[in-house]
Amino acid sequence: MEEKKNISGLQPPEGYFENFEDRMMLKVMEDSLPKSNGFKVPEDYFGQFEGRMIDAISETDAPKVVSLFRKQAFWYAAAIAASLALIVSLYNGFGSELSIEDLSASAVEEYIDEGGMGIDSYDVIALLEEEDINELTIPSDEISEESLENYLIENIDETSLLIE
Amino acid sequence: MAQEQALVSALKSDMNKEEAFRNLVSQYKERLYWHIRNMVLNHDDADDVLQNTFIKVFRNIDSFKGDSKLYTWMYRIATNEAITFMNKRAKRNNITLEEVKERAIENLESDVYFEGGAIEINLQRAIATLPEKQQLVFNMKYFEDHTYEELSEILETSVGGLKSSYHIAVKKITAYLKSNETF
Repeated sequence: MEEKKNISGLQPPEGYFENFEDRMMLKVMEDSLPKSNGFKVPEDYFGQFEGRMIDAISETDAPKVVSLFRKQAFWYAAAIAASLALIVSLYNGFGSELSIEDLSASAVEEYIDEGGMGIDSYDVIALLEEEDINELTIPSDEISEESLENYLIENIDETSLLIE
Repeated sequence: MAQEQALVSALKSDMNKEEAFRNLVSQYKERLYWHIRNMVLNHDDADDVLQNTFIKVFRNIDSFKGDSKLYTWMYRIATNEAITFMNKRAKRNNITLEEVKERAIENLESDVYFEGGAIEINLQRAIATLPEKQQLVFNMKYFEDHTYEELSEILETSVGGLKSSYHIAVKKITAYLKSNETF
C-alpha cells in the first residue's frame, strides 16, 4: 500500500505515531472500566473538616498536665503490694510457706496487663525514679526478634522517621 | 509556587499559623481524602488517616526544607500514614495486609458510604490483586487524575516506569474483570 504523504503541511508532535497502537489499546481498556469507585462521604463532611482539624490541633498541642502531687504514688505502691500479697495467698493457699519470690514475673505482668490492679504500665513507670529506669537491664537474648518487630510496628511512628 | 512558599512561611511562623493551617487544610483536604480513601476504602478509616496526616504536616512543617513541592511532601506523608494504618491493623488482628484489604472489600457491601454495585466491588477486588506500588499508580492515575509528571515526583519513579506500570495495571484489571464477567 502506498504511503500517504502529508500534503497539508500540518505536523503531529514528534513521536506521535510511535506506540500509537499501545496507547489506543490502553484507551479502549480504560473505557471499559467503571468510571466511579462508588465511594461517597457523609453530608457536609468536607465543609466541617477544617473546624475539626483546628480542634484536633489545639487538643494535641495542649500541654500535658503533670500532677505535682506525688502522694498518689504511695497509694499505688500500697495497692501493688497488697494485691501481690493477695495473689500469693490465693495462688498458694493460706498458711503456705511460699513467698512472693515464688510468683513468676510473667504471672504478675499478665495480672497487671489485664487490668487486675486498675493501673496500667504508664502508672507503674511513673512510680520509678529516673535512676531506677536507667538501672533496668534486659538481657538481649530474652527479647525475640519477632517481639521486637511487633513492638516496633505497634509503637514506632514510621512517618516521623521518614520526615526526619 | 510563590503562593506555596508564602503558605509554608506562614505555617512556620508563630503569627498567622492557625490561619495558614486552615488554608492548607482547605486546599488539600479533598485531594488527600480521596487518595487515602482509595487505599483504605472505608470512610471512617480514611477520616482517621487524613486527620493524622494533617497533624503530621502541622507538627513537622519546620522540617520541610522545600526540596520538593509541598503537595508532593504531603502526598508522601498521606501514603505512608495509610500504609502504616493498614499494617497496624494487620498486626493487631494477626492477619496479612492482603487479608486486611480483602476484609475492607467485603465490608463495602454494607457500607453506608458506598453506593457502588457488584461491578465497583469487583473493580476493588481486581485492584487488590496488583502489587502495592501498582495499586497506587493505578488509583492515582485513573481515579485521582494525576499526570505522570506529578506521579513521578510523588512516587520518585521515572515517567517511563510509571507509564509501563499503569499500562500493566489496566491490562491486569481488565483481564480480571473479564474473567469474572462483570462487563
